Amino acid sequence: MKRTLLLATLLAGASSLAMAAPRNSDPDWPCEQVKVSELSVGSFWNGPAIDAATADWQKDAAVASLVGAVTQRRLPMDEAGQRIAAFAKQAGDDKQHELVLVFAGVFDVLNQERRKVIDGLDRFGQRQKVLAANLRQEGEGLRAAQTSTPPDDAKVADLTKHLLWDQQFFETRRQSLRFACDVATTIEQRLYGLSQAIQQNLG
Amino acid sequence: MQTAMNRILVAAIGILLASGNAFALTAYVSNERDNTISVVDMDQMKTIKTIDVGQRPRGILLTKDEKDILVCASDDDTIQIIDRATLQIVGSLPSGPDPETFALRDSGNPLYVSNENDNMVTVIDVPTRKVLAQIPTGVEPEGMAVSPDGQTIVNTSETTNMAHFIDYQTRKVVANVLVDARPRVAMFKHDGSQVWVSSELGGTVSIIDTAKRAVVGKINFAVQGLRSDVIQPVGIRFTKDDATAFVALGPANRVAVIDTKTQKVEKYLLVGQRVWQMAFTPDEKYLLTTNGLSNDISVIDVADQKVIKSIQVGRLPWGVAVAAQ
Repeated sequence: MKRTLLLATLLAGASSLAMAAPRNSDPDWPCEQVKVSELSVGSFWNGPAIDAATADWQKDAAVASLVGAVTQRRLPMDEAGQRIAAFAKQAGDDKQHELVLVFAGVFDVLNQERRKVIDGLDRFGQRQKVLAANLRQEGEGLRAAQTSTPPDDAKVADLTKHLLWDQQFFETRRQSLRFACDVATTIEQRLYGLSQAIQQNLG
Repeated sequence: MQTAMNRILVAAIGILLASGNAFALTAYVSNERDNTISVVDMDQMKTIKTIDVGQRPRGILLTKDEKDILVCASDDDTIQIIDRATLQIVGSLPSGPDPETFALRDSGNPLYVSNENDNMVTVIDVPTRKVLAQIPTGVEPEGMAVSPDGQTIVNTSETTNMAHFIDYQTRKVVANVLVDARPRVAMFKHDGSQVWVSSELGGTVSIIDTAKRAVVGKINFAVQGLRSDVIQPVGIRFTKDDATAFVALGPANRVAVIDTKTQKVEKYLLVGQRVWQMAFTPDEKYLLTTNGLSNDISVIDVADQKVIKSIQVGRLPWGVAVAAQ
């Protein structure tokens, strides 16, 4: 009876986890928000065109240096804003052109960084689905062992132990998911903050 | 005589000061991650107070008399009542499980609540705080709207991808209209002729003729430099004359301005990150948008169709309601 209850609890847990799974058009995507694979310039930028002419931003040493500095998340946003303002002042008549290059660079770097995170989340989601399927299979195996005659207590105990272990592993991963999803969000927030700072200095 | 006049003047100033924010134009923003409501003084254009509420506050509106703020505390399975004068929680409404959004009948009662995890719409009598009915609809009910004449209630369901038309008298679903994937918000035009439904995954707004209960038009969005999967329509608002509609486009960080006659998008305004819900100030001078990722509200000047200000609020702002006085 106790074992049946345990199994029921485990299976109920697995099923509620499945229900709580995020809904999305990409079945493997594990985060709550709708998946956006790539960021778009238009979500952040109202300024002059970001196109082939701005693709070589890295060739401008001053731009590349500023982009490298302000995209580092350890640099507080206030300070990043001050650096952008100082850069704009120093650029003088070239301000407009240079700031557009800075945005192109910031967008490239952070979009690339985010893309790696998204790929990681995709893999996480796929792995979690496999783990959930394994859990279901283990639950069914345990149920079969419990109802078999003659009863095999040792096998039931062994299967229960494994199921508990895997359930805990699955749950720990699930709990860390929110933080993993937040990494992508943090990068987007950084990009938005930098875009705002650059656009303010455009005038 | 002079002294008496001075006394009256001093008393009048005293009353004005004592009444504090009662005369200020005030917006209330639900912050989903912080479990708070930000109180925003629209004259100063800044957050002046933060109220602790239940878990995962989302839908927010004012009662008809504007004495109370109602907020869906989704993870607490309740709707909390906040007294506007004291900004204290003074009671709750039996919302049913996981209330996400709600709509009041124009008369101020009853309240229709979408229960996301329960496939139901709960009907609540606000004065007695009692459930009048629970109406089964589609899977994962989401948007709620009541027609201006109060005779039709529309609920959208995220997974069934439908707008369900509910009759006020019988409290039964009388029509199901298929829309694009993951419908979010339903909004009636003020003249009641159409209800617009945004589809977050479909990236469209379906225009439903209220009399025919059929989709008669669809609005698509395309912004230069924007991938189409970033366009995820959510909030919808019509100007009082129904001439212009505003649609919030989620992670596109844009609000589309639409001419309702031509059904064409005239402009895309860049606002804060992950723009979600919106509300007009009562004079319709400003439209406020909640921006989930940048933790602010954007203030749009409606006449100029320009974003004029960003006001910081709590984390993950979801909904906004503005008091007329």
